[in-house]
Amino acid sequence: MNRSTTDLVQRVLLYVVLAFLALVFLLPIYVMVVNSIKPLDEIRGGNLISLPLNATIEPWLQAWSKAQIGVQPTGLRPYFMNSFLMVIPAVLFSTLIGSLNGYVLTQFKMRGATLIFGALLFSVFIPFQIVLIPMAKLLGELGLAGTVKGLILVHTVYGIGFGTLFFRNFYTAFPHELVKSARMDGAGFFVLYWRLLLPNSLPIIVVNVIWQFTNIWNDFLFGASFSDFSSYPLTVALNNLVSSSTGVKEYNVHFAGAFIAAIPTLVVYVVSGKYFVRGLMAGSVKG
Amino acid sequence: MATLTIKDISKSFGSTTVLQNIDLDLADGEFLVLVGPSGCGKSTLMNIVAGLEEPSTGSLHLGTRDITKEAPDTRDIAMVFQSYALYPNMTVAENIAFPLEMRKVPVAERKAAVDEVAALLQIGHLLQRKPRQLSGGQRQRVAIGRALARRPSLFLFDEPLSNLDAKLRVDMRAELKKLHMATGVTTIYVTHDQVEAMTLGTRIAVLKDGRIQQLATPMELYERPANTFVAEFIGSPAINWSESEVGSDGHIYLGQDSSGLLLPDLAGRRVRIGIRPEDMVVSEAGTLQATVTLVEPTGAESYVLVRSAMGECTLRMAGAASYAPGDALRMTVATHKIHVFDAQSGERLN
Repeated sequence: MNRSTTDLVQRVLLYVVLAFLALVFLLPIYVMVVNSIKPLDEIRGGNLISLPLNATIEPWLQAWSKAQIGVQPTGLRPYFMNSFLMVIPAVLFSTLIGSLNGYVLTQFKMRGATLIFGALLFSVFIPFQIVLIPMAKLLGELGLAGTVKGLILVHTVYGIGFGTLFFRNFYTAFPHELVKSARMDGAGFFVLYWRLLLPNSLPIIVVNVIWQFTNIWNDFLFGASFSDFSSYPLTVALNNLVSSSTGVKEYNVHFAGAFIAAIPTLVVYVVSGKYFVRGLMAGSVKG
Repeated sequence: MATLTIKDISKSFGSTTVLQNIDLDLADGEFLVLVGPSGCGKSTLMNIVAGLEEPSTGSLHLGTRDITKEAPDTRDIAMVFQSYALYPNMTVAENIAFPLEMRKVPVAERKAAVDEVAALLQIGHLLQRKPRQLSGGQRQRVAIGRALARRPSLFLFDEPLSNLDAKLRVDMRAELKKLHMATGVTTIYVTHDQVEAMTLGTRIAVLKDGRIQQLATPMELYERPANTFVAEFIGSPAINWSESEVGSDGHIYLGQDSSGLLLPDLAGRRVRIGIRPEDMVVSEAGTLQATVTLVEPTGAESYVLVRSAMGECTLRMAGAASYAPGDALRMTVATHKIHVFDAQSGERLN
């Protein structure tokens, strides 16, 4: 074999392996999609891999607006809304507070900055289970037990540790001369933060948003512990849908419901992935 | 336009002393260069003047105003940083206008100021670009423009040219000097490059270990260095050194022979003798014998390394040198060109 044929063989082999791996990773999604559009009796037939013979969107409609989850047959829709009402403020607040913490910890000479950072970092390692009872007590005292607001508070507080870690490490590498220059130009504490630090933090904001959004959206424990029928987040509602249906197990509806629950995190990854652009700081310093 | 008085400024971090009793007076319109090796405290002094760091002791007056405790933005001082420190999220025009915006200058006035400095620095065509779309030299201009637009009483430059390539550095150096002549703003310029220091400064302060070694005009610094450090730091190729003992009659010896320089007060003292490369002149009548070891042509001049009774020396000659390694020659040195320093303290003696 000459050299170019060897190259070709290697290349083909490489693509075969990659295609195989891609298939392995995509298979679960395929299974979910395919079965969510099958009538129930086709699933009962036993073949999860085959394409639907009579494709239908009925399971999706069921899961979205008709399935029995609480007292009323409302589908997942109201809980989907609950999750959004919870995740958007929680991500926003924890990102803002995290970035402010990072800004203060890195750009100001402050006594005990390392200690404070250490304490905040420690909060990252506290298991969820440990805070359940104190948090339930606190939410009760604040009158937020069983509300979406209560969940926002819990997730914001939990998000501060990671947010601070991300932003602090990002701002440590932020050029100090930029901050000095802005101070001489007359920028105060918040102007500096708002006009200089934050607009130049896009990569880490994206990282933090993806991280917090995924965590908060997918959280089950806090949702199950601190909410009631009216304030269930989607994960808890999905669990109710899957585990509590009386009579026949409607697997196709379950597949559709699970997929609905996964869509927002997928969208976040797809949309913000492109903002993971390196070198946004390029050009600000050095030649 | 203003004078700057730096009085008895010291700065220590914990037990490390970075600056010791710095006194400097800048006349209105003066261009003072702070030069020294890295770690000498020059950037700290700059930061203290800018208000970015607080001095441990001492005071600062800009004109008649005491600015020691004043915040950086109300001192009326503008600074150009080594990294240019352009705000990456703002256009060139927004960068230049930023300090004015912070001072609540009306939009129309801001725009006029931006256009004025843009014309002066020839960056008008770049105003709508972001810093990352500019070359190093262009960024440098924008940084200077941002400082100029404020019309400060005092300009600080912190190694502004060290990120530029060699040719651009020479061009920008000349432009900075022209700009200073045109605006007449009192300026402090920090550098570790002695050529920049010599060419730009009306006066130069040489710093080492947090102390001013010498404060003088460029030529004074070159011709009468106050100590061995200054003599060595200023000048390229470096000054030639030789250590010897002053004769009992006060004769200064170069090798075995008397140089003709007579310093009776110093009889018997150990001294270091420094002679600039251009002051060692080849002459048939010279008493100092030498052998050429290396010839380094640079174009306009050549450096000839020789071995003599004085040790290794470099001679500076105009044009191409007509010597080859191994050649013998004789040298002479004018007595007033000999720098004599104490061998122990390094202080100038003659």
